[in-house]
Amino acid sequence: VSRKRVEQGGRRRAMYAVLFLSVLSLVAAAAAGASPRASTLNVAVFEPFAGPLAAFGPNNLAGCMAGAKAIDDAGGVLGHQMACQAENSTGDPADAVPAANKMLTSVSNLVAIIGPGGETPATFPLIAAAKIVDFSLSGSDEYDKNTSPWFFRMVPADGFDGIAMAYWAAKHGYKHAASVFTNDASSQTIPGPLAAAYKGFGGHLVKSVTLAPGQNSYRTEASQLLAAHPDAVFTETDPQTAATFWSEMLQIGGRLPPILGPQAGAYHPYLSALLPAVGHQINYVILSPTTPSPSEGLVVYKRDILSASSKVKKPAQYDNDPFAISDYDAVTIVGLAMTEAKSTDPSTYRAYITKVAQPASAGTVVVHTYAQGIAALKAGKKIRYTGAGGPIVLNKYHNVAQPYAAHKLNPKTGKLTQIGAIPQAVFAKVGG
Amino acid sequence: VTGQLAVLAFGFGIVSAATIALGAVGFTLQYGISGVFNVSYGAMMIVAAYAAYLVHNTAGGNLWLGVAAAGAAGGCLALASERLLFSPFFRRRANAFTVVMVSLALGIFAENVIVVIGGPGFFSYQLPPGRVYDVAGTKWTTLQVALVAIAAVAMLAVHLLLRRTKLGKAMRATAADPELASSCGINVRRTTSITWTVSGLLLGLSGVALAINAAAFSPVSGDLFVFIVFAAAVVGGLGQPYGAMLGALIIGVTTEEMAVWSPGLKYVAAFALLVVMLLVRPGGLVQLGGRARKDAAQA
Repeated sequence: VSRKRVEQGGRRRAMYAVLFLSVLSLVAAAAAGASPRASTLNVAVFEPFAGPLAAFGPNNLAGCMAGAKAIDDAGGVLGHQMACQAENSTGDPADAVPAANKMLTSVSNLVAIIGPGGETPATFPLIAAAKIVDFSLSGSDEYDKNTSPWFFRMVPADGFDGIAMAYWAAKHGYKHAASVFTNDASSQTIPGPLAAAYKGFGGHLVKSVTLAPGQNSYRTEASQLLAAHPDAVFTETDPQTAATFWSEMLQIGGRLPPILGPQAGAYHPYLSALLPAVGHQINYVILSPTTPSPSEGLVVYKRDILSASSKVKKPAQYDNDPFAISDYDAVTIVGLAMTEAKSTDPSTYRAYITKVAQPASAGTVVVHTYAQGIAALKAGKKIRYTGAGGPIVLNKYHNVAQPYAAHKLNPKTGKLTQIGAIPQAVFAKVGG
Repeated sequence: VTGQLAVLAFGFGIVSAATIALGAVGFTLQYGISGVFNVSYGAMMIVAAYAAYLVHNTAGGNLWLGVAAAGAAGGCLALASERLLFSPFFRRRANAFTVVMVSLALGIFAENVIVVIGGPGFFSYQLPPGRVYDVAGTKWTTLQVALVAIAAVAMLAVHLLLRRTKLGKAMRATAADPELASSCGINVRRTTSITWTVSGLLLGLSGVALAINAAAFSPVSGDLFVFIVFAAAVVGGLGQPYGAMLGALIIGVTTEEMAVWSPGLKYVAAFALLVVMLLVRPGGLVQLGGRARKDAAQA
């Protein structure tokens, strides 16, 4: 009798469990169906969120989220809300491929992707095949003459960075500079164009040091560089290497020569490693096509970046970051292009991206925010977007083509101040 | 100029060797007593360095408190991981691969704990380097002298522990032959735990030395450095503390000298040395000799 009771009790418990799970599933399904996110357009930030480069993901996510907030505050895009999804690209091209496949199959209503950087050659074919617009963060020269309609690049090409650094050094009398780059693929695309351009501008590269990244000491390499007595140093390395190398050079030499770096040197993770390590004793000039100016766009960006606090730790730290700013502008451009195209379909709106990101001309209205752009489009006007990062020009290869600016870093605050500009003609003259 | 640089590099190599030695001796003690190739060692170094960072920041920039905190954190972590994580696998006589995978999981977990608490960015003690001393063509900052001094004191302490104390004798005997040591009345479990604690102390010091040396560190800064630690331990002879000291010196000086000729190949030189050593003398420079076995018998 007791065995029978136990069996009956077991069956009853199993029946209750099945009932409970069924109700739970129904509630979950109903909740999902009722979610306003069903009509949300998603932008994936496909950057490293774990591993050695984990600091870069939140940096770019912050800019994306600020852009999405500005769009949502202005009523969304064609009735849709905009959201940013963090997708870990891992930082390793081999691991990035399955990560890209996962992103493309799991993120619903995916309309655009921001990133990745060095993983782009491995992942872009997948993204293009999925017909999604990609704002790549790669500086690789293989995209300088890009022909894919899905590829856009709002960060500078490495070759342009090299020319800009060489020009600025020569113009300011640094004719005996040295260079320090790491031996990874993403840093090795700068030294060639840099050396050629520097020679063309009358400079002489007194020493070129190539570092293996991530080592616990670079004292010997720093001593080699000091022995060459450079009057300035061109550099691009990862944040950890920069902190170790420049702090040791400061220890050995007592002071640092003027340092010139590309836009990557203004990344928040880079500065957060470098500045404490060198005790703020650094004379650092960054050459970048992103030129944040005190415009309404920048004011709105700085306000909206704070709204990213639910997903990004201390988002205010990115209020000066050129990458976060260009991500913000990319999302805004996507929203404006969709509105102008009257479609959220990437196959349709992608053609309008380059129309929005062009120099102002007769018959066009310059807008600085998404809200201004929507108002102008509703009034039937043609718009040109000058964003938080200044004027944005995408050329026929979908690459940024606006003039560079030189920014001086305030080592105590980590803020950048524009101190000069490099005209576009310089790049054309050198062949960039 | 190259000659001068080679002399400078030798001095820098000593500093690198000091950092490597702290880690390599700790690692080899763990391996010697338990046979665990603990790949979480690098992550644990960074956890200890992070503990030092927190204490250093809250204690008004007192480096020595930070060093003590790193040592304590390393010791506690090593003891806890041995008792709570690895021991159950030892008792089940899990194979070496299983234990390596467990340690790998522990390392990933530890790194992510730092990411959750401190974020994925970089941390720096922001220490002033102090004066620069020119000694026989080499250059040393006050901070580097302090690092070498910490390593030298730690190495001397390990030597005295191993050679002048009963505990040291028990540690050597257990490492040489745990069953024989046990049958001779040595409490193997207790000795193993104490050895892990000592190795953890060294791990903590190594972590803080790495963080000072590199000027900034992130949750994954130990991932590459730990392979240099492994290389030093293997070159010296796995399980041999004196071998690890010698291995660290060789690896430290070789990598810095290689930087004079080809900076990009620094670590390649270290691993080339490792491969050559494994081919020529698989047991490492200092091999388990008759004396260790004699200790076990005497104990």
